[in-house]
Amino acid sequence: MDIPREHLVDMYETMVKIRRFEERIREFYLADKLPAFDIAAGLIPGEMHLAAGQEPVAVGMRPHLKQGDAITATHRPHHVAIAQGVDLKKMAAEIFGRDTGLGHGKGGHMHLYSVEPNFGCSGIIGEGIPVAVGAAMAFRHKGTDNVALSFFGEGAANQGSFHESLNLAALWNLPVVFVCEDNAYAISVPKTASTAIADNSDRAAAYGIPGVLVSSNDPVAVYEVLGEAIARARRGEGPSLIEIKTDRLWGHFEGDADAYRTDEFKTEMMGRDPLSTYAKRLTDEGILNESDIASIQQAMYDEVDEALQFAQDSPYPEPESALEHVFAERTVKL
Amino acid sequence: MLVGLVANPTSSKDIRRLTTLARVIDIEEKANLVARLLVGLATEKKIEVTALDDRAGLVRRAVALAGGSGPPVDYLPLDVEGTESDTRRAASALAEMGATALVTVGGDGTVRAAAEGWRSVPLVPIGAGTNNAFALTEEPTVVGLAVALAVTRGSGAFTPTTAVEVETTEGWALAVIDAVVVRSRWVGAGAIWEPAELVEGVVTSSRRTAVGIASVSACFGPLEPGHARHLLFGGGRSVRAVFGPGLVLDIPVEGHEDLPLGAEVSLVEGAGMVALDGERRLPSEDGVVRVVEGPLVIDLEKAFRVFGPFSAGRSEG
Repeated sequence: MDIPREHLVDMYETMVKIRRFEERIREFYLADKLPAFDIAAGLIPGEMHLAAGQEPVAVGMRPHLKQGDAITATHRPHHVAIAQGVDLKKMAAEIFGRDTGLGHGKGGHMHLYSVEPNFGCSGIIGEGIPVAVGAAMAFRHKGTDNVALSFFGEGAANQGSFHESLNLAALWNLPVVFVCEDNAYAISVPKTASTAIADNSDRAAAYGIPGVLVSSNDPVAVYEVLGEAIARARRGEGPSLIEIKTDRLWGHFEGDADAYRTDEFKTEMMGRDPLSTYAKRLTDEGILNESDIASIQQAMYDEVDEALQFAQDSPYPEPESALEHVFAERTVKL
Repeated sequence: MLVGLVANPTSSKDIRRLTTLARVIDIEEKANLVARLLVGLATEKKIEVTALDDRAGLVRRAVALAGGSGPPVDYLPLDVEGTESDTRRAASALAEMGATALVTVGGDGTVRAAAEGWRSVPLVPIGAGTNNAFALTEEPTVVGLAVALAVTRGSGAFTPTTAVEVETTEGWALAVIDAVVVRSRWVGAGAIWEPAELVEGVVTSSRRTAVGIASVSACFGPLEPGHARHLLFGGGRSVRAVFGPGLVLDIPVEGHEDLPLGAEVSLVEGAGMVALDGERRLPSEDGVVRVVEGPLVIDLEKAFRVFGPFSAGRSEG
């Protein structure tokens, strides 16, 4: 199929935006925690899991989404949220724990929730998978042609929630696409030490749904495969499991010594950084030239910087508001 | 007698699981096929196997499954990348080691990569791919037995095939079934499944029972041995072909011409990409396709007829 130029360029722009966001968050995060790593110190207390290298998995879905589609993600959520178009300022503010954030600063980096677009994530492994199935059920009930996407890692594919979710989605033929981001490591545990089979796409057969393996960290390959999977789900043909081999360029968390991966492995991985390889292909194909790349960088850097400035300038939630937004406000008729 | 083995854990898992009725052939299934093959091979004690130590450990699983009923299996000292380069390098290494046959377990892409690594490879292609236009679909135990007979009792059970060589500004490549120019400019998910994308192709097979471009070629009659068919897609007339598993399509074909060994075709200017054996691979700029000799392929019937336990005589060498 011929891919429209605007889709190709949009994917690149989004990859640049994601990478820049991750790099800047990393700077802010580490700045006031060193020299002795104090996880509670500084502007962004707590853990931080960044998705540098995993951009292709997220951007490939962009042109295929429609308003109302629901997406769930993991403890490493930024690339997916940015790709779906979650408000970058409110997302940054949430990470910084400010009142203007998506969750009024009370959720933080692993608990980003947006109504429009409909995005949610969690630090609990495998949590989002059944939630996406629930969203798909709601779409079926409402009679819309929306789809749900669930992003999770290869480690999560060993959780009960993964298996239960695929089974139910298959049984009820729900419009959900399960996207397994295989970066080969669950924290420090290599897949060979945790998973009985080499490819999670093989597991689709156990539930009677199609499985696809995307073996390269390539936004165009992801675009084509997710395009088909999403279209299929929208047509009412049910769920599918898409496994994508991707690269987690940095440690599991910021502050991770990452000593469990060899220098050779890391050098090889950096050598296939998807941002550079995709940029090169776009320039080789004459889609973008050097000056376009520079303008895109500038524009994306500006957008990210603006969002981070908004976050820094935003107020913290008042201590008195600690119990607000914890329970749903309702009047109960007895 | 050394028999090479390359099993591909990645075959039959691509986007065609969504665009056709093809299903995943999972690693356990492939390990099982290899185990059955190994049992067949072990019927001749002289046979030793050297295998690619694939990224999924599928051959190791097969060896464990076959247990004492399998032959001795060694592994190539290659750095496994988990890409098709593993197959290509393994085939080259096995050629250098003097392997008498190379068993592949995978699809047409796997066969193609093996042939690129070893041009005149005596192939035993066990089908575990999407179309399997080239591959054998018989019971692997029987295939193993046929190979055991063929390599220990003499040559002659392997027949020559025709392939196509593609040369563009980006490099050289080999295709065992077809080289097809498609309108897309991106490798992406690799597979082709839309007839509107097809520009032209050179195909080496017109087997009526084949799936894919070979099925299109079959509509124009049989191919002489040593020949390939040049197809020009488009125009008003269509032929009905089995384009993929569960995918019967009307493919518009404007013209066709049979080409002998050595013939060359210059590809249509600026069209897009060349897909090799069903996977988009090289930009088609300044592309030339040449009809060449392909790998050798085992003829199972011949192996049993000439070398089998009930054959009239035994031939040597």
